[in-house]
Amino acid sequence: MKKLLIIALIAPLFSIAQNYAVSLIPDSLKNGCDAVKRFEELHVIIKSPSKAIIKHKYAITILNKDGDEYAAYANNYDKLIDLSDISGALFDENGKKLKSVKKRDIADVSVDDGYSLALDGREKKHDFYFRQYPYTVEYEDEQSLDGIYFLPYWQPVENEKIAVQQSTFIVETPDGYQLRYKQNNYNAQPTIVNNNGTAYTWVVNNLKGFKYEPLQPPFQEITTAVFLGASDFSFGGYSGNMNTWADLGKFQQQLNNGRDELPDNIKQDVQRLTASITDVREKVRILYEYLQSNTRYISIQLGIGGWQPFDAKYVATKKYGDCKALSNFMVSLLKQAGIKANYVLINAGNGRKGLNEDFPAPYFNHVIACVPMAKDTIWLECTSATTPAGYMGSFTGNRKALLIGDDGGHVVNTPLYTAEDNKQLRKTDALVDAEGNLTADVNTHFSGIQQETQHSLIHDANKEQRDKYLNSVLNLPTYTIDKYDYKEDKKTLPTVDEYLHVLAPNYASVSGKRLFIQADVFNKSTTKFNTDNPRKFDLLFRSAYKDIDTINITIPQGYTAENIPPATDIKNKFGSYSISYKVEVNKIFVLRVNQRNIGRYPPSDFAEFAKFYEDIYKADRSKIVFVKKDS
Amino acid sequence: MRLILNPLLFLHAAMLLCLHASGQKDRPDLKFGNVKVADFSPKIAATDSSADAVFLFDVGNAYFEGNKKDFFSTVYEKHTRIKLIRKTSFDDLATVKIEYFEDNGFKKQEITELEAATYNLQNGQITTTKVDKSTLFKEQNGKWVTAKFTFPNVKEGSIVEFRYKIESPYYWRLPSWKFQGEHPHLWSEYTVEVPELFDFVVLKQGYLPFTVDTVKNEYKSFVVINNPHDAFEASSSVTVNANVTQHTWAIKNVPAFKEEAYTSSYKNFVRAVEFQYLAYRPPHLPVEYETNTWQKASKELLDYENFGHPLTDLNTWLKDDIKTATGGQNDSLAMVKAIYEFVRDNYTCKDNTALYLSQPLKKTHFGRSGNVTDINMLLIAMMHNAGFTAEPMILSTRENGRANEAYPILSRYNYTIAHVKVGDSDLMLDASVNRLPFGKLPPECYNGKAVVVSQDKPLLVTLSADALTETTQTSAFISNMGDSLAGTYSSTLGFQRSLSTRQALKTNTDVDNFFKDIKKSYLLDVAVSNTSIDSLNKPDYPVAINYYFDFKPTGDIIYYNPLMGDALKQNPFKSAERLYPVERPYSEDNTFVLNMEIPKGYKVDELPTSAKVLLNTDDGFFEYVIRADKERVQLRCRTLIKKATFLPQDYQTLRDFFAFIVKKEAEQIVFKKL
Repeated sequence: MKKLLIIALIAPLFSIAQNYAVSLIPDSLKNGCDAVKRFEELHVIIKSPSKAIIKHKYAITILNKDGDEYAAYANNYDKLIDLSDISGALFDENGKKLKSVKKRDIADVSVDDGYSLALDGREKKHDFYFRQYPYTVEYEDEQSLDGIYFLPYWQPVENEKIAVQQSTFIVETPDGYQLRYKQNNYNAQPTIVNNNGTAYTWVVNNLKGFKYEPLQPPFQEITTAVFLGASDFSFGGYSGNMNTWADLGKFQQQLNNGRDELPDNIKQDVQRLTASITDVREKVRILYEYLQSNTRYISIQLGIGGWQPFDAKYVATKKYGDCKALSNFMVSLLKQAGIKANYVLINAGNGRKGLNEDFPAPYFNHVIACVPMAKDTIWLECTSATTPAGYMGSFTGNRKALLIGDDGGHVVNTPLYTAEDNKQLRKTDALVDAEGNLTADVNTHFSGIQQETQHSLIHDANKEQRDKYLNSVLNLPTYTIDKYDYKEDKKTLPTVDEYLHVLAPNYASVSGKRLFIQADVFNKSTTKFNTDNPRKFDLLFRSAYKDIDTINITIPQGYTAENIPPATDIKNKFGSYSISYKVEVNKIFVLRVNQRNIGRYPPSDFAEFAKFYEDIYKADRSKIVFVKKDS
Repeated sequence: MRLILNPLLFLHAAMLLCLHASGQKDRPDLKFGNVKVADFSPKIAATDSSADAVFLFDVGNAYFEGNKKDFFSTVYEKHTRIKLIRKTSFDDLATVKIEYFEDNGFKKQEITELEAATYNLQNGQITTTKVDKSTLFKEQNGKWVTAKFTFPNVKEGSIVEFRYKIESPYYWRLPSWKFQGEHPHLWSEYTVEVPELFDFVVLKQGYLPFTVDTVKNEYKSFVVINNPHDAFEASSSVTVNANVTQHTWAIKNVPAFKEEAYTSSYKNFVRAVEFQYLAYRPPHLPVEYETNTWQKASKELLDYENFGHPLTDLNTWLKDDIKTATGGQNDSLAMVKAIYEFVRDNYTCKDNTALYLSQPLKKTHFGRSGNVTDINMLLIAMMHNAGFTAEPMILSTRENGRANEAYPILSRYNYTIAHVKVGDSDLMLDASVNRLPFGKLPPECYNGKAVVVSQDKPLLVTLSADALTETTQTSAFISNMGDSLAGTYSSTLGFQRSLSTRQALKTNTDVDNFFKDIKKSYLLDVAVSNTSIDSLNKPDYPVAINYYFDFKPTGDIIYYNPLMGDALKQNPFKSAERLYPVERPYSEDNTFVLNMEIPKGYKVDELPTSAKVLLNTDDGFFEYVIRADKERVQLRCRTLIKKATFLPQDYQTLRDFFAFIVKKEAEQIVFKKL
């Protein structure tokens, strides 16, 4: 009976040719979508901890031009992933087969991630370039994994504006193999069949497409997805288990083992630099700066080398390495100085989420180092030559990561940056002449995440790029920045002081007897939200900040204020905003405070949220109108 | 300073230019590894304080050598030494990428004698770290290989050096040389040595004077080894003696080239030399000319298998598509249009810079994709099959730089379109661009002379951006409706703006956002409704933007900008000075007309003044005519710019002209409550 059931589930999908007539798609799925996935089967067969086969077959109907990108096939392979058996076909509106994929039409290209010096990843690609809508493409391929450290995940709705008619995810494991999975937005349990092994099946039918909403949560949280985690696995000649974070950490420990030996000259450098220092923090800072000034980031990802660091000796001689090699080198330097430090796996990137604590699996893309301390840990981004010791920022801050200890992995939290940390305090002193030309001295103090742009202007841009950036970034019609200056303070919470001298011809408009001026010169909110459609998803604000603007403007003598905008003062759960204007003879004083908190808000809060932004938008653009006294 | 395309020079022409006396003594010591402590001095960078790296020298050689395959190869040597001053230069300069071509091992370029090292100054001593051969990575993409390595031990202040040699059996291709780049060069030098067996034409561009420009003649021997055809045949060698002309160009202290907005291509202005193969002169045999007239070039192109030759086939497999496209129409123009639209809408262009076919026409047909030449050649083949006269037309796009029409240097061309005759009219068609109107070309094509590749009579056609006028007509009518003011807005765009609007507004979301931005552009709180865009999906008609808007006048005073959201808010010319010509994509003529009822219960308290300014004497004008009576305000605002290209000396005038427009269009009408 059990055997019959499994056949009933799987066999039809493989044996019966599908009918891809577009008329078979329910209208409710086509509405507002560019493409409809007609059918999909992702079939993962785990044969052993060192071997898995992934069979993927899908068909997608392209409804219009915007859907064309989903008609192209691409899949990757490298030293540890084999890709074979690619086939495919093209069907017209009525489901009539027009042509098949020919082997010689499949392109085979190297993957260029845009920054690596060397990678072994390659990609096979195909595209029918058919442009008579609607049409359907069907593709099928097979990957063979050498080691199951990474397993695929299933996410039938790949993007907004794609609906799914039917998609199935099947995972087969050998007898007694413990498979872990995590499902999002799937309101049932998988069908589990035990018969000389176990087969898990997830199915979805008729999933509607959806539209992107600003500030929506990550895609994988709002759509159906199932993630897999191995238990026992082997990979690139190593084996391990990832049932717990501790075990996953042990595996990484194994990869790193014995890679921390430093050559003598580096040992001497460490001795010379730190022997006379007693404070641990100071030692860490000195060695981190030693790393920063002596090495640079170069990415080389080949085979298991994509997960195993080059040893410390390699970095010591070449003076370059990727995040793994540099973090390992940093940990080695600290060890040499008698300081216990750790290698930390993390999912980096502005706005990205850290690891899921309840589901151990290797969803990481970066490595950092940290020095655990009694009070607070020192975090080190080893690929940056300029970041101050201890600062994580938007790239790696505010998330969970996996610290690799001698006893295995530990889930840790990287620093959280609050509105008080991420500040922009700006003082503007401006003069407007009789023609409306504005000259301003603008002094701004940035901290935390808000100083990151300025930090990169100081360090990553050359003079030409900096001039270009500064002369285009301000929201003013015509202007020149003829002088500027930066001072940074490399603390754990870094700050930058910026001075700009701005000339903005015709900033104020002078027509006949009147002078119009927007007194909030440099910090106008540019965001508005559309409330025409009902909000579906939560609002997610990932980063907090606080801006305070103090503006003093002197205008020519002989005018009186005809219209002064009213003050605005709003406080709510999203944050707060206030602006007030004062005019004394020919001087304008403005105080603007704008703060946003980290938070997640239900869709029902959207109207209030949009109104908040609408009000700010308007208040920031209020004009003060002056009229000549004698007229 | 303007673009100077030097008159053509021939390498073997009997000319001896004088060697500038200063030339040789400025030449740096080129011995590999001979880095001196003084090279690390910060003074080296003093000439350009903003430079994040300085090329101490960049020296190239190209010469001929007898090869083992019966003929000659070219050898290209490059030797470069760079001082890395700031980290920002590491991404570009501390990693070296060398591209070369490997055609199944048969005609294979080979990279040899690669040597590279990093030098650092530590406590007054120079330390050298060589690049380890094991860290050279090769990446294969089709027939192209990229060899990559990165310098070890690099920090701010390091000097890096590399040299390599590429041997190439493609003897008719002499590598070009750019003397200028993003970073300053203390010395940039290129030497080309060609035996009298080969003729090349030299094309120079840019305006920096050469420090060295010399020609030397020498007698040399070349050993050509015959490739044995089977195992029994012994290889033999032939020695060829020939007079060799050696031409050297060098420039001292080359400043960094800085790109500016509204430039078609930096390639037009950078100092560079390029070569076009002309002829092979075997001893005692007739000269084999490559191409020296457009007539000859056209003939060769038409005979060439990767260009015109496939057009001579019957290509009967196109019949079905022609039938589908034309659907039994008889009218010539309608048929041509239908075929054009079929190709434009059903084919995807994967590469929009290519002069030659990348694949057989049949493959383009079945794969429904190809490069620009593949697609337009297919269009021509379909035209032929349908009984029309159609010829390929080649050109160089703006991005690719200008081609020299006087001489058929084909390497300068990178684009093919179709030139089709229908009755008495000639049409230029480009089916590689989505949403392009029938009979129009994308702005990229307007870059000087294009050539109709014709067997009997090649034709040079001027495609000038100056002659391309973009006309925009906008009108707004506002009247009192109850206690609100209600208006209709309508703007009809020229074809280039229509094209870019079509390309930008691909989805309904884009259109929604477009109108949202319009709403935002009003300073007042207006409601925008009944929005529509005409002809968004009809490429042959101009795009028109239409909507209604209304707002409630409140308060004692209303400030109203009569140009509404259409006021020009930014001066497009931000930088204070300009070294190169301003090359705008077209000339323009924009008119905005407003007819507005004065809000009920208000009167005009203040009106902007009317004004007119000329752009130079006859290059255009800006006119702002406004008047008000008791009931209404009327405005007519016109910006006419009669040409697209402006010389650097006109830059300030142009910038001031736009500054005036920005200022004038910001002015407001003041209505006061009665």
